[in-house]
Amino acid sequence: MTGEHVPAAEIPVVLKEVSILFGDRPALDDLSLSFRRGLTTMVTGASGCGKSLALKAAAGLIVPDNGTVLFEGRAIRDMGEKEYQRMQARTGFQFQDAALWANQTLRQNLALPLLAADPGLTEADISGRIAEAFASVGLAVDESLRPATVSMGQRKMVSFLRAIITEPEILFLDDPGSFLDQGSLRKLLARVKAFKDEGVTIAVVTNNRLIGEALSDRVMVLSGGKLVADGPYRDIMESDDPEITSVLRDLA
Amino acid sequence: MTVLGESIESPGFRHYIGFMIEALGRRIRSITAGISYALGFQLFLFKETFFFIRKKRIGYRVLIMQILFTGVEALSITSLMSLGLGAVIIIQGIQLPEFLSGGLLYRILIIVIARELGPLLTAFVVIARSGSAITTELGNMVVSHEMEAYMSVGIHPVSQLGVPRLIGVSFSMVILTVYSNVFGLLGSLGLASLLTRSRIVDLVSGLFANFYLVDIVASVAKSFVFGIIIASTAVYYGFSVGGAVTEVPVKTIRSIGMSIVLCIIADALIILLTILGGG
Repeated sequence: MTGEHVPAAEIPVVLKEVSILFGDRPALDDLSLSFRRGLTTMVTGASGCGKSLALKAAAGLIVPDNGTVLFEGRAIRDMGEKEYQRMQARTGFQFQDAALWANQTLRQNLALPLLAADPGLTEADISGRIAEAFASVGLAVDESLRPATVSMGQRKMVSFLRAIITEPEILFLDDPGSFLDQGSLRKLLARVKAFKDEGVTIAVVTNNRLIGEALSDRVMVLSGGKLVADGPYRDIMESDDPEITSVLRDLA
Repeated sequence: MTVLGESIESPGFRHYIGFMIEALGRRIRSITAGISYALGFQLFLFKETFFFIRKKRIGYRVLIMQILFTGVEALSITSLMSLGLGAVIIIQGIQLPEFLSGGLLYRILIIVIARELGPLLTAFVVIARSGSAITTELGNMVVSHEMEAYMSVGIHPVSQLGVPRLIGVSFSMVILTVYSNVFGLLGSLGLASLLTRSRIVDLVSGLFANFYLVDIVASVAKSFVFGIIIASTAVYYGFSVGGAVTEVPVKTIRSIGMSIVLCIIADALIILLTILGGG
């Protein structure tokens, strides 16, 4: 299911034979995959199969023990500090466990990416962008609170807002549905759909069929740190390959 | 010939020797890799510190908080310690007949409080308070993926978190040492004045007459070097936490131990340099 020819320019992120070891155990085992420009790709698989690691490697947050991660044809490992910063300014990453900066307020958690992308922003610009972000997902929470004093669901939403506040061209979402109530999930999906409609490349790690149905153009199935399936969403979901169905039947 | 009942010609003995050589090789390789990583980390930290000004608003908040925690909140404990040190010298010293004559009182106070034990004890306080706090905080941030979050928004966590701490602790160490020196020296003279019924003005002018530039330079240089050692060691160990919460206290203890050892070595080297320089 991976035999289609796609021009290199249409594949902004590529993992080539990537391995990540935990001790002697490979968490990612010679994994090769790519995310296509403008498409939303769902990465799924059983717990511990390496989905989140693959996403972090793709986003350049983890340096693999072996193999190469390419961003627009350039190996992330070979990038200088400035080039790496420019790459990160064009991407957004929502963490599975929110990973908000605990010693900063919710507002500061959103202001820092804005300032990192554009140090010349005024306080008024920053306030405007943050208010806009909160309104876009209907999140009503006191910005001056620290992450530990709000619910996990609210933290996840702020983590999502931190990923999108700089309006990235590539969005990595790691289990965006966890800890969210149905209402919040619907608002988040609507916001992601809006990005998708604008042509943003999205990689979403999830085992939630609702999120997959709502967003995904393609699906990648991982098992034991390896890619076992990669193709259009419908083809994979309707596959009768036992290796794929054994993973997919456990989707929520 | 046999060793532990095994012939040195036997395959078992050869296998044992081979295993030992392999283990030794692995250990040497691991130590070499660890040292080169640590040196690379420190070089990067110092390079980023050099360019800190470019970062504009980002990172200044961390710097101010670090100075407040290390430099301001530790003032009382370092002052008390310095005063206590001076009190011990005075109480023990006045029992010696030559203590108050010939400036011995002043030189002992200056050497012990300002040049030698004062900066070192201040460094120990800063290691215990700030060094351990930095390693713990950074280690916990690694575990909770906050470092990756900095990377995801294009900010290098060493620049954002390590550099302000290095600058803050080094700057605060100098301020703390100067403050505790002044407090310790003047407090000791106050005590000496009470115990010996001498005029405090005479004692203070005697102290100034015995204070040399090299005393100030040695004290400030030591405290600055200690600050750099404490901060860079604490930052390094904080960032070297892997992914488990249980690693945090282990790295914190190592950070404290390593900082103490490095400060004592640096102290000895600075004393040697001062003596060689004629001070």
